[in-house]
Amino acid sequence: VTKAEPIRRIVIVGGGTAGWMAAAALARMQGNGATTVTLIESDEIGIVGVGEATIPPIKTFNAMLGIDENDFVRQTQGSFKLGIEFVGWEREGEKYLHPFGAFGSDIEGVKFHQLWLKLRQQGMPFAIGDFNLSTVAAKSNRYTKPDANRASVLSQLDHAYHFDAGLYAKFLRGYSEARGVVRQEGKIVRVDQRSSDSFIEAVNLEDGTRIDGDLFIDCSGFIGLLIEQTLHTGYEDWSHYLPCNRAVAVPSERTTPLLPYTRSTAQKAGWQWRIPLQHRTGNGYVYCSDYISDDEATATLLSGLDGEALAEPRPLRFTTGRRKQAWNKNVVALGLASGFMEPLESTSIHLVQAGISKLLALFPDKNFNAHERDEYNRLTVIQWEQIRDFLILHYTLNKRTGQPFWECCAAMDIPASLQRKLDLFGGNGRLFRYEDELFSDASWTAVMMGQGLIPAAYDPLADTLDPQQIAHMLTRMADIFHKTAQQMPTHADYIAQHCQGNLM
Amino acid sequence: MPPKWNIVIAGGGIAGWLTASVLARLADAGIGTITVVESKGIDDSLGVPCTVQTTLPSTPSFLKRIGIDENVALRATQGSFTLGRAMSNWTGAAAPGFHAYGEIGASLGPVAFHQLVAKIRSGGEVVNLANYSVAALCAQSGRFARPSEDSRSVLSTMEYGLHLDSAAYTAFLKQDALALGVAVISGEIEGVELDDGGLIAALKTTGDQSIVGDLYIDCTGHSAKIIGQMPDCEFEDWSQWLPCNRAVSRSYAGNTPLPFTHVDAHSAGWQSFSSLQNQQGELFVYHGDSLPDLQSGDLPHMFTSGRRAKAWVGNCVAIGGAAAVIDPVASSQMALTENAITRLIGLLPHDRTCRIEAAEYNRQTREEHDCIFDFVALHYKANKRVGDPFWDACRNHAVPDRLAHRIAVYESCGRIVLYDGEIFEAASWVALYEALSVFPRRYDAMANGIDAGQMVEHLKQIRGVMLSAVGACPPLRDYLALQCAAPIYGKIK
Repeated sequence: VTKAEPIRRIVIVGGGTAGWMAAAALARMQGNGATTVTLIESDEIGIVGVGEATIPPIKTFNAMLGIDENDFVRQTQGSFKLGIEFVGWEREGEKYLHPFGAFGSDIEGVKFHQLWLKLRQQGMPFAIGDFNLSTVAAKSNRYTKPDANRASVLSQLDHAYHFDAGLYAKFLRGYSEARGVVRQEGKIVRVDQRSSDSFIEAVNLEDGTRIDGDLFIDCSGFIGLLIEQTLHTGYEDWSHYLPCNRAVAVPSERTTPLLPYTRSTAQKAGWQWRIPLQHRTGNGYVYCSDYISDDEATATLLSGLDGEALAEPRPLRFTTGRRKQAWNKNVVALGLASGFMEPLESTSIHLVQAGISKLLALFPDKNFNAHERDEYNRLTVIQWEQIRDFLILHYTLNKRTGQPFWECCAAMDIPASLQRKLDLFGGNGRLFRYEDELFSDASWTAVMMGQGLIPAAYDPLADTLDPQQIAHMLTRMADIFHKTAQQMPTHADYIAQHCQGNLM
Repeated sequence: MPPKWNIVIAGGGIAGWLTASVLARLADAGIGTITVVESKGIDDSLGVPCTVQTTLPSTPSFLKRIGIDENVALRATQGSFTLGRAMSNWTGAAAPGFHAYGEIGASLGPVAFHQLVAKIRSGGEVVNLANYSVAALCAQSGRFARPSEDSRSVLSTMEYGLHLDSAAYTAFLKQDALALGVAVISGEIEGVELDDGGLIAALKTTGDQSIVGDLYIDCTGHSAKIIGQMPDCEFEDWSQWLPCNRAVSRSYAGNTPLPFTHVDAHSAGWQSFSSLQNQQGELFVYHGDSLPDLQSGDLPHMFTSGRRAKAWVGNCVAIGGAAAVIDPVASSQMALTENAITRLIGLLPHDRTCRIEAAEYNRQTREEHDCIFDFVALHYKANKRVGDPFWDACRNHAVPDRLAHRIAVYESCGRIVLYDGEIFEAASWVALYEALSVFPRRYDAMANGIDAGQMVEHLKQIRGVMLSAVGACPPLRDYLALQCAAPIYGKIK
């Protein structure tokens, strides 16, 4: 039996959002008085801040760190996000919202969307979005703080944030340094590996400083300084499912009204994001270089802004996929070092967060038990593949015509796991959420129906409930949601009252 | 309106009548006629026959969901409650372990309770996890009350399963189903008649009867009389890891009922004791002909643990023992049957080929079977009965990678590996590892951030609150008398 030997030196390679999120969360490991956390970053190396929009679980991460919401929104020029509006994804001129939170509530084990499908067939006038408070509020640009009390209607509102990822990293840096994390300025020029098993022993900086570590967190971005350049872990390429491979990003002037949601607009060879912050709007065009030139993509982006551009457009190249092992030897890769999926559903920061919580749950000792590593990697693969399937869903259901990129996406092979979901939903509107799956039944329903996949029939179980009573309940619910939303302040007013940033 | 499905259920027994009774409630949801073909003989429809069924906490919630009043069912079946499994003689330890239903202790910040205990133990302290479970404390003191629905009360952290007289439960379900319009035909299944598309066109029974339906449900238990004849449904034999293959079951007049199931390992298997209101059920499960004290009149039932590769093919769905026979040491066979019924209802097919629904049903079923396999096989793999040839062989026999991985991760860092189809949640896995004396080598590093004094105080406080709550619960006998006493105590069997 091997003796437990605690990790003493944790070294995070790379700052940026991933690095500082890891530092903030791992700071607590210093609670034993013997473990240290060091983060190495260089002011010379740029930070790729693709993910400026988030999804609701980020609230859990912030709560774990004990971060006050208003303080956090103020310091990151943040705004509130109730969902994503998809424009032109089914076909030109159509749009839908993928909101946070549930649609209505299940009744006696019958899923709400099944009841809605049944009543809809019988001529009920309401859209399914009328039963989601986040949708109703988003449509009139309103927001207020949800109520934790489940008896309150406001407990139905769910939200995430838009924020400046650079400012978020800065905010977390302050948090981490206040809790004893040491920031080491410098560029890594050499990595030393243990001869016996190739574990990383130390990294050496340009100025000759050597930093020894037991556990290394690779947050070095696309290059994967430790996980790939040193350990040659390998990459699983998913371009055949998600062909976009470039993006160009540019900030623009803030416009009014301040929308409480992200917008994703389908373009000729990809899609354009719009993320409203307090001080500016983030924009970008994610595209596939086989179908459009960089210049044309940039021109499309700039001509589609709804405010003046505030900087030079910044290009970005990527290959969608994942590192074959996010945890290899004594290196755990987070953020872009672990793989890339386009920010269509704002999952980049979430994947960092999820990687950190798995690491905390399976925090190793110096023996680095292979089964613990395997468990981390197993859970990571499941999560990445589930998100991948959800992204592919958006592409495979498009019906845009006359654009080769989109026609190719509609015709491509999809994973069997996704095909099964489409078949089950297309038949009787059935959904089976896999355990720990990030996107809920409501999210799948929103996107599948939003893009025109309407079940052929509803679940016969819906017939076991009294239709008149259900119709009455639904009418009442839609009415309550509508009235509740109208009483909320506008998104801009809420921010002005609670968490106005100071760069305005 | 979707077309009505006419259902033929082969086999009767607990599985058949439970399925019939649940489906009969769905007349509005596309279920047409339901016919049960009831066969004679021992009821092995759940897998392994036993005079008293011991169930998991999923049974009370299942009954509630389908609208059967639990007290009515208990009254009709001499039923009683079980708060967990006392496991004796699985290790060299003198005191039995206890697999309590419900939560154990309470986490402190981000650190799970069993990780706190692991840290405290690393300082040499002796801590018994079961001392921090309401269910275990109630079981120890012979008390019982149903859990509180107020999530702030510590009594909301316990769960319970049921002990039911098998024959009485079958009769109860049958009566219920017949009242709901289910038809019954007596006869032995002789075979099936397939149509050109390979779907079942009719069921053949003794006397050359032909029974026609749209969907055929095989509840014939181990013999799998229908699914066994379908393509791609070969039996996957698990007996190398779940080696017990004989069962003897009997009931006798009992004394004071106990609110738990007692599972005692013996030289070549195990035996369990489950209290009804005024009877005691005994089940001996063992390997080969090695049971020493068979009584005259005991007829060993032979079985093999394993499952059908597919539980749903074409228009035939196997439920209960016809789909899988799993060594019942973990009281799982009722839960597996209930879950299969729930799964079928969630996937009532929308055309006769059932292609999409069957594929999903089989995927979920296999996941669930894989998970219950791991849980049950752990009993054998991790036993500590050194010197008993049967148990030594079980311990030394390699298990499939997935179970090996679960054990390795737990032994290394105390983390519970979970998959999609789990019947048992993390707390049950922890309890089973404890009962089998499997301990992690190190504790959660996050526990280092917590002050040792604070931890000890936390444990003291939990135990104090639990003891006073348990003290206020009535003795089981009083609770039964008050809630669900059977009108006439059953005859001695």
